[in-house]
Amino acid sequence: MDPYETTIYHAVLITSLVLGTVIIYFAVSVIRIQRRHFERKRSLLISEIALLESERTRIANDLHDELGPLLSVTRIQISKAADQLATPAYYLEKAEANILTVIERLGGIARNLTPKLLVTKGLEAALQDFIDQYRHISSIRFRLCYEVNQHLSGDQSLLIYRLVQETVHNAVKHSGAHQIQLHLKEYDKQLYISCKDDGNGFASLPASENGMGLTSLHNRAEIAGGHLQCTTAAGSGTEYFFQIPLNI
Amino acid sequence: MRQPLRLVIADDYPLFLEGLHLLLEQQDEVHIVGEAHNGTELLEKVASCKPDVVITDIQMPQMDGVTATRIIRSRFPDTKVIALTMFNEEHLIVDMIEAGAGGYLLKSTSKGELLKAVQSVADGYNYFCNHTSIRLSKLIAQSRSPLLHPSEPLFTEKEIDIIRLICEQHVSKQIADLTSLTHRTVEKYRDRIMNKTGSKNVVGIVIYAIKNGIYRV
Repeated sequence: MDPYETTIYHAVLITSLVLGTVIIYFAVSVIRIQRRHFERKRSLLISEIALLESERTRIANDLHDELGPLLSVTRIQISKAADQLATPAYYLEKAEANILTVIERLGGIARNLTPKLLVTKGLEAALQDFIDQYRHISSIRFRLCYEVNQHLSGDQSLLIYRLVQETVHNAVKHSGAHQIQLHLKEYDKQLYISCKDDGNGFASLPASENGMGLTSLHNRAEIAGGHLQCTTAAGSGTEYFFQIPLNI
Repeated sequence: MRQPLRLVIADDYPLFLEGLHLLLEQQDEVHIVGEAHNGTELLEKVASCKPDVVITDIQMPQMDGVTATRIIRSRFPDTKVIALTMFNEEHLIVDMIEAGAGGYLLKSTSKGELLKAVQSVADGYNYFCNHTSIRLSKLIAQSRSPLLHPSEPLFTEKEIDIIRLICEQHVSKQIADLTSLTHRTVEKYRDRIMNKTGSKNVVGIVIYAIKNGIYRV
């Protein structure tokens, strides 16, 4: 081979090696930065969620421990005042009835703000309670199957509870289903959650509407360190299938 | 007239205790002999005052109402306990019933219902708040309560029909229409059913019926 040609070959080889190394280095850095960025975003989201949940708990406790008893006492005082009058007092009776309604509403709000049962009795009891509440206000048939033996941390239980809550809300609101089956199963350090309904499926919904709900569910799955797979077809129901690593 | 029933009341919110005082003052049937702000204080008061009935909040600092109730019922079996809750917190109520409370009331209860509950529980009956939902009735019926009457007295077919109609939330007048009985006869049946089931209100009948399989939800 011509020495000149050999030099060219060498030059090309060295240049492509250098270029290759640079490109690989660049690609690896981009992936690394992206991964770091994703991790940072996730931990930021997790701490934001923790903050949100602790705020919700604080508000619920305030309603429960301070406003509630204060309203009860006010009710007692009003009924006492009414007793002391010779003639029945229309407006006092009205006020008393209003306070009762406020107390009932307050209870509902406190309950929706934070699932107390999750802390006292764990995820299974809290989910059972959540489903039971639906059973009493909706004609949809619910089935809950819980096959998780591992004890989940408080944070992880809450993430999963909220995720299931939103999935079921979505299904109830949009699917027009008669039956919703919820199945949580633990296998090989992974938690699998399936929520299956016999409703209309996705295609029948306007894209914007199902897009939002679905994105939010994808986000929740991602925050929990897992992912969501959604199988649906018009008229044949929807299945949401989450895979989430346990104890992350 | 019988001696006034001796009460100890417990709640960690002082204003609410004041409210209970206000509600029960000038009532000859009851006399408040002590008050406590947490479970530990409640146990001390029960030991020193030997009350007939304790009315206690469930969530309290130091020792909660559930633990306090369990200890009271085992150490002082003559003292009956009524749980007070702010809202219809079903699982807490069930915990209290399982710990041996004879009944529960919402904090928004009226004077009349409070007195009725105290009397019933002191007489050894259960008393469940008039606001009890079917869902809570079911939870109570399924609970491991030491106090729910387990034996099933014999009911006539007519009585069983009427129990079912009561469970379906029909009032006496509707039941009379549905069974072609007179309103007065239905009322008589109702009284007899309450006696047989040891209930003090409709809720007691519903819980009894669910527990003994007369009514399914």
